[in-house]
Amino acid sequence: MLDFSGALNEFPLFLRGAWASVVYAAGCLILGFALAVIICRARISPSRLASLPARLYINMVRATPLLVVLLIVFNILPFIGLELSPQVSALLSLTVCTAGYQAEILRGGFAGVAEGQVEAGRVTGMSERQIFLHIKLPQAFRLTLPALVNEATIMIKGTSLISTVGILELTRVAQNVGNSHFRPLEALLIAAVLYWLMTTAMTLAGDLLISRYAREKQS
Amino acid sequence: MSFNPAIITDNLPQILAGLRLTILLWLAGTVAGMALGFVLAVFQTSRLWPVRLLVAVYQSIFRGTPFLVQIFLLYYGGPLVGLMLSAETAGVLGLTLYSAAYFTEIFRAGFGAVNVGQAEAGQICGLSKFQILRHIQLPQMMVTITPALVGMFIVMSKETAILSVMTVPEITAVLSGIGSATFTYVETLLVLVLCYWVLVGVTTWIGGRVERRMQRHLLTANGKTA
Repeated sequence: MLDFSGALNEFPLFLRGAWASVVYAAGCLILGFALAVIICRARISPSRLASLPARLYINMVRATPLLVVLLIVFNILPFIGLELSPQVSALLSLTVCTAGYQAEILRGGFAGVAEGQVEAGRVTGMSERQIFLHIKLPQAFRLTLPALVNEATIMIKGTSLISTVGILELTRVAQNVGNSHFRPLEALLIAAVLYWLMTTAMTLAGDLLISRYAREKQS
Repeated sequence: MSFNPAIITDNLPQILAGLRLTILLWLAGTVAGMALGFVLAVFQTSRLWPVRLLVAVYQSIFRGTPFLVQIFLLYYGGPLVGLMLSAETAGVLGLTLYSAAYFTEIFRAGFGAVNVGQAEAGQICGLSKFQILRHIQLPQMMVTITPALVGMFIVMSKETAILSVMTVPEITAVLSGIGSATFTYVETLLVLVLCYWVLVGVTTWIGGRVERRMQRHLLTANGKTA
């Protein structure tokens, strides 16, 4: 009933597609984290001028489907004269999206950093910037690592949506191969297995890092 | 850049039908997913390890692969194994199977949050398994897991947008269709975004009320919260 011979002949294409998915996922997660740190810093700032726009950004992004963000970036940016390549547009959409979620995750982490440590930093003469970079941020990262790993797996899966705007990644490869061999089921199953391997690897790597941090804290 | 609100008012019946379909598919898929997730979570408390393993495999598959690939498999791959589904049916089924994997995890955490001693006490008092579930475990775990359940409903409201890819005429398909046919992306996408914000906003508000309602289960005999 199932015949994988046609699709498996194209296996190198699948691997290239999977690699593209990994690159987009890694790219948006790293850029998104940097953006999230900035947004989060504004969000927890005592100044309403900074916290209000950050809060608006987080709530807006988290209430918008990624697919709709893609539609907006691909159709409205060219409309207002901002011509970006499809690849950059796709990466931008993914980054905008994950930054909102990561900012909200980090907010919980910053709240968990003991005030005494911040005061200790101040007493030892650290600047606010140093306190943020060397005391608050590393701990917020560790405290929220499980949630961040979860977000990473969500974004690995989320990259499948950029296939709808013509980016050649794993889902697109599966569709192309499935169409050319008239066997979409097998091609999609191969893609599903590869996605499963990617998200499972991410989860395992995350668990490893989490338990290492836990051990460091104990010793 | 021009702004032409007439494009929205002219197509209002179509847009409202799309919004209606989005809400229908979302509620049908998510409520069914919650029910299936609950059943799977109960299975996961089974003493038989093959049952627990099956549930774990199910969760791993449906949480480890993209929703888009899952509905493609159902809709385009299904006919190859004799499974012919309309786009809407495949959509609801896809939403159900996908959300069930996450709901299972939420309910599992809920079971973990209720002290085992209470279930054992129920057993000793002669309550049946169902009675223990209905009167001891469920009311207490609902208090802790309601925020997570509401969060899942919100996640799923946005996942419905993906059904537009397989020609389901829900709100994203309708509005982006109008947009590309008439080159009015600004108007249509603005309305589209607003629809989702309202949907998420209303769900958050209702979720908050349900959360407060659930707190009543924590009231002690003399009316104070435990």
